[in-house]
This record gives sequence, C-alpha cells and structure tokens, in this order.
Amino acid sequence: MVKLVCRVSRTVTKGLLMHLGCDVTTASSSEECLRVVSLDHEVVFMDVCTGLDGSELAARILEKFAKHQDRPLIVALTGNTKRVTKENCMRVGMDGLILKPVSVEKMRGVLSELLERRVLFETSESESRVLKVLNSVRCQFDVK
Amino acid sequence: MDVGQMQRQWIDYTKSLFLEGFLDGQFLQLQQLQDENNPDFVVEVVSLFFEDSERLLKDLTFALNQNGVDFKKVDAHVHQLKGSSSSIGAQRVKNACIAFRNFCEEQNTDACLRCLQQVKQEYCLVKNKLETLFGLEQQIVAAGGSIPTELSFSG
Repeated sequence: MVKLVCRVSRTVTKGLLMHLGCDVTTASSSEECLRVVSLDHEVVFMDVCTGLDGSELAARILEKFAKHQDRPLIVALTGNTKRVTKENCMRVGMDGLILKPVSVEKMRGVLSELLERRVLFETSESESRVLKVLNSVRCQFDVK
Repeated sequence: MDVGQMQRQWIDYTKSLFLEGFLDGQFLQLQQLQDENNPDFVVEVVSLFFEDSERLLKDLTFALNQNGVDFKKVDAHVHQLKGSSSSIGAQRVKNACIAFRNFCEEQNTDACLRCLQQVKQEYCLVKNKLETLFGLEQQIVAAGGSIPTELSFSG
C-alpha cells in the first residue's frame, strides 16, 4: 500500500513497485489508508516530513491489527535526512524509513531486506559519516 | 528527416536537458519504469505534474497576494510542488522551491514573491522543454521508429 498525498509522487511510487512485480493499492489520505489497509498488504509506505506527522496513522494501523498475529509493515518515505525524523518514526512504532529519491535498484533492495528482516531504517550519508568517525574514535580508545 | 536522424535529435535534445540542469537522474528512473505494461508512463506522470503545478502556482499567487499572508499555507503548497517536481526529476523547479521554502520560514513576503516568479519561470521552461521532447517522440513513433532506450553521456 502506498499512502502519499502528492499525486505525482504516488503515481511514480506505484509505478516503481508495479515494475518490481508488486500489487499496489494507493491512498491519498490517512483516512483512506486506514479504511483500505488489510492483511493483504505486506507493507504500507507512507509520506512523512518529521516523523510526528505520520505518528497518528502509524498508531491507528497498529491498533487496527493489534489482535492479529500479523500486520503490514509500516515504512516512512521521506526526503528529510534529519536524525530526529528517524527517531520519531522509530518511537511511534514504524518498521522502517526510506530516504527519497528511491531508484528501482534501491527499492528492489529495500523490499528484499524489509521482507526478510522485518525492519529497515536507512541512514543518511551525513549520519553514516558521523557513525564512521565515532567508530574510528571508539576503536582508538579500545582497551586491549 | 529519416528515423535515424530523428532518434539522434531526440538523444541530443534529451542530453541537453540534463546538461542544462532542467532534468536530473529521477527522470531516467521514470523512463526505466516505462515498459510494454505501461507504455505511456512518462507522459502520464509528467501530465499529472503539469496539472498539479498549475493548480499549485495559482494557489500560491492567491495566497501571497492576501493582506495577511498565511506562510504555513504558502509553505505547504511549495512543499507539494517541491515533492512533485522532485518525483519527475524537474531539478531546476525543485531547487527554486527549496529556496522558496527558506523565505517562507523567514516570513519574507517580498522574497517569496520573487521566488514565486522564479518558480513560475523554471516551470514554464521545463514544461516547454518536455513538450518539445514528447513531440519528438511522437514524430519518431509516427515514422515507424522506436524511442532510444540508452543515453550515453561519455565522449
């Protein structure tokens, strides 16, 4: 399921997923998404700016499937690379965050990892650089 | 002009759109999604972009000409336009929207009006360019040819 307010983005994302062989349902609003989402959907991709704006929909989806053993994975699609966005998404119970733009190859990898590991929080390039530096500093101070 | 010449013209024109910054890699992604199951995908998505952009530009013009400008509303419209232009690879429109959003945050009406003009200009330019591109495609297909699938930027 793809819930994106922007019609162009929704159509492109749908086209991308269909190209990869997925069956896709689309929704233009949170209300529509919540009404239509079912256990037939393995993943719900939703647009998110800050993470907090997707929190209510994520919470309501989790509530909808609370009594079921299974539920769709909830993944944020965002162009916002701020760490706080990722943290907000994690805090509200989302299963993943993907940074836009999403190429065909990237989405192929994303779907594969998501469906196998059931979680995927993408790191932005700047965050990766910071983590590499931190790891490098940590290694220098390891006690042998 | 024979089909081969038209195809070369299409390739050269498409390359120029990338080199001049009108389009970025996301447009290539759209072309990748066009196949026998979805043969008009690019034209359909770009047509949606044209419709949505024109509506948003009208809404922005209205919003910025109010006595008390609602910058939250203005920002929301620009955010949408940034999203849709980014989705089709309209790089210069997207970049103009990024600058626009900065001035929305500052609540600077004059600067926002200037940004709106810039966005309108970039939109008109890319619209003309894409319509020309699609015109070339129609000519190639009408002449019995096919649209090239590979664009090489080397050499």
